[in-house]
Amino acid sequence: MPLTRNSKGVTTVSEILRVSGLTVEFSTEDGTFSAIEDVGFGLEQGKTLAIVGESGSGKSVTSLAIMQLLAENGRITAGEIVLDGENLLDLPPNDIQHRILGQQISMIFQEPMTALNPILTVGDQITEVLLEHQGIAKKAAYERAIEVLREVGIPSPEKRIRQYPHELSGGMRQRVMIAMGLVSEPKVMIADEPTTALDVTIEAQILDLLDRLKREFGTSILFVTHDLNVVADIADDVIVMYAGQIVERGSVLDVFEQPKHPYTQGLLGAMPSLTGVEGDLPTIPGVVPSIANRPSGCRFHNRCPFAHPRCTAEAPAVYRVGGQDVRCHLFDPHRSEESQ
Amino acid sequence: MTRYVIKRLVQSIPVIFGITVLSFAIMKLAPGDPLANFVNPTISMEDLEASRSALGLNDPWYVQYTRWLSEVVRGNLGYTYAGNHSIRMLIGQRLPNTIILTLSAFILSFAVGVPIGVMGAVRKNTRTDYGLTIFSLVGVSVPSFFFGLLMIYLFSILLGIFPPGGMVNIRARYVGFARIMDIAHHLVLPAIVLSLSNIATVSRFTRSNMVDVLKEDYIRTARAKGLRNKAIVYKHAFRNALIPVITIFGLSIPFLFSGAYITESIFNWPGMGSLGIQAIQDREYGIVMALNLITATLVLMGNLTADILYAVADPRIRH
Amino acid sequence: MQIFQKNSFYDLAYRRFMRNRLAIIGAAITLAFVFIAVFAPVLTPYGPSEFFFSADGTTYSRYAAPSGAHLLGTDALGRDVLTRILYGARVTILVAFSAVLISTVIGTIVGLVAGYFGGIVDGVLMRIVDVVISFPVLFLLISISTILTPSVWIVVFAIGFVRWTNTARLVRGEVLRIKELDFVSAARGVGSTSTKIILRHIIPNILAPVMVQITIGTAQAVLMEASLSFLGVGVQQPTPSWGNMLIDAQRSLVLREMPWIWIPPGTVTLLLVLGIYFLGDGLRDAFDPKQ
Repeated sequence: MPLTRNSKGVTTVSEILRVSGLTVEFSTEDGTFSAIEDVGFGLEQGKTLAIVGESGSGKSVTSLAIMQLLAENGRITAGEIVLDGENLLDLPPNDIQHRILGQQISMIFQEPMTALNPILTVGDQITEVLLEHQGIAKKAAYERAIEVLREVGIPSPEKRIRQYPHELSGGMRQRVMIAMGLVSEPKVMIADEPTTALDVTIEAQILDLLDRLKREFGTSILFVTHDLNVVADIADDVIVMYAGQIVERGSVLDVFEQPKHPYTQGLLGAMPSLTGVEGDLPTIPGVVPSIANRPSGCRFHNRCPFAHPRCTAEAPAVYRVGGQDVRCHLFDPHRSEESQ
Repeated sequence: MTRYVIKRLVQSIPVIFGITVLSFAIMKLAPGDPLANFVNPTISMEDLEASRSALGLNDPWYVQYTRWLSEVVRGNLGYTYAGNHSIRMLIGQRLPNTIILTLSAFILSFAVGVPIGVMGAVRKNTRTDYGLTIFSLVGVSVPSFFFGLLMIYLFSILLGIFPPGGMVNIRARYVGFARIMDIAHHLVLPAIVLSLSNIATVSRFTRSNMVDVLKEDYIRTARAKGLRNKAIVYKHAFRNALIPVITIFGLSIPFLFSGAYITESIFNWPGMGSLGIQAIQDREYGIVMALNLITATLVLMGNLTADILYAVADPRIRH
Repeated sequence: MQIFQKNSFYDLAYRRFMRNRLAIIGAAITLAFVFIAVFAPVLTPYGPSEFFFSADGTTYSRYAAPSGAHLLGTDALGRDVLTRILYGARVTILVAFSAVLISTVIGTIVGLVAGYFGGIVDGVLMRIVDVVISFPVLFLLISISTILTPSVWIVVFAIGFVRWTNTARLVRGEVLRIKELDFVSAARGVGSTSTKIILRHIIPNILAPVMVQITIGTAQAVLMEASLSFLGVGVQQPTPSWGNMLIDAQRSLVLREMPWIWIPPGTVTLLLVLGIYFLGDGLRDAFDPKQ
C-alpha cells in the first residue's frame, strides 16, 4: 500500500495527522457506492497540505470523514485516521465529540454566511467551544475570543463580538469562522474551500491570514480546494484527487514543476495564470464521472489523452516517480513497450 | 424594526376596511327584511314605507354602510330583532368564555405540538417519528365534532371523569377558587377537542422546520465544534426552527375561533360560537355580522402580533 | 412499469411515491371510497331514503339495533344506516372534489396574476386574500350558507370561495420564485409574450405543488362539508351526508345507547380524510425529496 507511507516508506515523527486506507461508502436509493477509496496521506506539523480536485473527486468527503461529519447515509468502511498517535476510528463517539472536535481538529467551511448561526452573536459562537469543553468562565472566554478576533485581523473586536453574522461582510465572516477554528488552539485545522465564496481581494487577504497563522502558531492546515492557483499560493504539499482516489501526491514544487499524472497535467494546463493565454484554455474534455457510474480500469481513462487498452481493463497501481506518487499505468516500470 | 411595525400597521388598514365591507355585505345579502318580522298584518303599506324610511333602509347602500360603520366604531353593534337586546352586551357576556376556551387550546397546541415536532425531527425516520407522524395525521383528519362526541362518550358517559358540557356546575354555585377549579374541570374536554388538530398542525410544522434546520450548514459547524447533541439541538437548531413557528401563532387564531363554533355547540360552552349557532337558527343576522367583524379584527390583530414577534425573534429582521 | 419518461422529474417522483407505504395505503383508501361512491346502488339493496317498518308493520323501525337485515341498524326515521353511509360517500366526494376544483381555478388564476404582474395588482389581490383569511373559515361558511338557502351546491360554492386563498398564496409564491429563474428571464429577453411564458414555463413548474395542494384541500373540504352538515347549515336531510348523520348524536340518549348511529359515519369521515392526507403527504415527499 504505497499511498499509506511517505517517501521513505515509514511514518515520520513530525506527522501530526496520518490518514491511511480511508474508504467511505454512501448508501442511496440506487445502491451503495464508495465515495472515496484507499485514501492515504500524512500532514506534517506546521505544514499546509492541499487536497485538489473537481467537484465529485471526493476531496470534501475526505475532510468530512476525518471530522466524522459525514451525512447520515455515509459510512467509513476501512482505514485509519491517526491524529498525534491516536486512531480516531478506535475512539468512542463521545470521546471524539468531547475531546477531539473543536479542540484538536477544527474545521472552517466554504460559505461563511450559512456556516454561522444567524441568531447567535459572533461572541456566543466563538466562546461556545471554550465554555463547552474547557470549563472556562464566561468572562475569560470572551476575553480570549476578543484576543483571537484581533489575531485574525478584525478591527474593534470588542464591538464585533456582540454583533450577528448578517451584520458582517463576507470576508469578516470568514475571519470569524477562522477565529472560531483557532480559539482552542487545535493541532490541525481543516479548511474546506474557505475562499471559494469570496471575491479575489478578500481571498488573498484570507490566504495571507492562514499562512501567517501557520507560521506564527505552527497550526497544521489541511486545505481543500478546486483551485490550483490557491494551492500554489499556500500549500507545501499537494494531493490530487479524481473520482474518489488519489491520483498524484507530492510536494507543491515537484507537482507544479513536473506533473506526472495526465489528469494533473490537464488541470495545470487548464490553469489560466500559468498558461498565460486567456481565452484559449486547454481544458480536459468531459466531466468527473458520478459516484454511481465510475468507469472500469483507470477511472480517468475516458478523459485521458494517453489512454491505451490496459487502462480500460485494469486499475492502475501507485508508482513512485521522482518526488511523487502517481496512480497511472504509464509509470509501470514493467510496462511492455507495445502497450503504449 | 419600528419602520417594519409601521409598515405592517399601514398594510392592515385596507384589510380592516375590507373586513367591514365584507361583514356589511353579508348582512345586506341576508334574506328578508328586518322589519318583516314585526309586520303586523293590519299595518298599511304607507306606514311600513314610513318606518323603512325612518330606519334609513331606503337609503343607498353606501349611505347605510357609512352610517353603520360610524355606529360600529363608536362600539354600537345594534340590537337584536327579537327582544331588542344590545348585541354588544350579548357578545360582551360571551366573549370572555370563548377567550378562556381558545386561549387554553392555544397554549395546549404549542405546549404539546412543539415538543412532539422536535422529537420527531431529532429521531427522524425512527419508529417514534413514524408513530408521531401518524398521530399528527390522525389529529388533522378526525372531524372535531366526532372527536368531541367520542370524548364525551368515553370520559363522561363511560368513565364519568369529566362533565359532558357546560362551563360551571349550576347546582353547586361555587365561588372563589372552587369556582375556578370547577371551570377548569369543565374546560378539560373542550380544550382538548379544540386543540387536537392544532396540536397536529403545530407538530407537523415544527418537525419539518426542525428537519430543515438540522440540515443547515451552521449545524454542521456546531458539530465540528464538538458540541454535545443537546446543545446542537436546543441552542443551535431549536431556536432557529422556532422562529417560523411564530407564524403559526397567527394562523391558529382563526382556526381556533372556527373550531370554537363546533366545540362550544357540542359541549354547551356559553361562548360566542354557541351564540353564533343560536343566532343562525334564529336568523339574527346582526349577531352573526357582529361576530364576524369582531373575530376578523381579533384575527388581524393576532397576525400583526405574530409578525411583530417574528421580527423581534429574528435578529436579521430586528436590525 | 414505465409510465413516465425515464429519470424525468415525474418518473423519479413516481418511483419515490410507489416506495412510500403510507402513500399507497392512502391512495388505496381514497380509491376505495370513490369506488363506494360510484357503485353505492349496487352495494346495497336499499335506497338511502327508504323507510323500514317494524315487524308488526304499523310503526317505523326507529333506532333498530344492527341485525342481519340492517348491518348497522336504522336511524331515527327507520332508514338503513349502512345504506346512508354508502350514499353519503357520493355527497361527500362530490362536494369535496367540486369545491376544490373551484378553489383551485380561482386560486391559481389569482396567484398567477398577482405573482406574475406584481405591483398594484399584486397589492390589491393580496389585500383581498388578507381580508378573506381574516374571517375564520367556518364563520364565513356559516354566514354564506345561512344567507343562501342551504343546498349541496351552495356548500360547494361556499367551500370553494373560502378555500381559494391558500392556493392563491402558494401559486403566487411559486410564480415569484420561478420568475427569477434563468430560463424565464431568457424567454422574456427574446420577447415571448406573457401568456406564452405563463403557459409554457410557469404552469408546468407549479403543477407539482398545486397537485399537493389539491389533495390537502380535498381532505379539508371533506372536513368542512361534514362540519357544516353537522351544524345543520350544510347538506340537508333527506340527502345523506356523513356530517348530518351525526346531528342526532347530540341527543344524549343516542350518544349513550345507540353508537351504531354515530360511530360509523364519524369513522368513515376520519378514514377518508386520513387516506387523502396520506396520499397528499406521499405526493409532497415524492415531488420534494428534501423532506
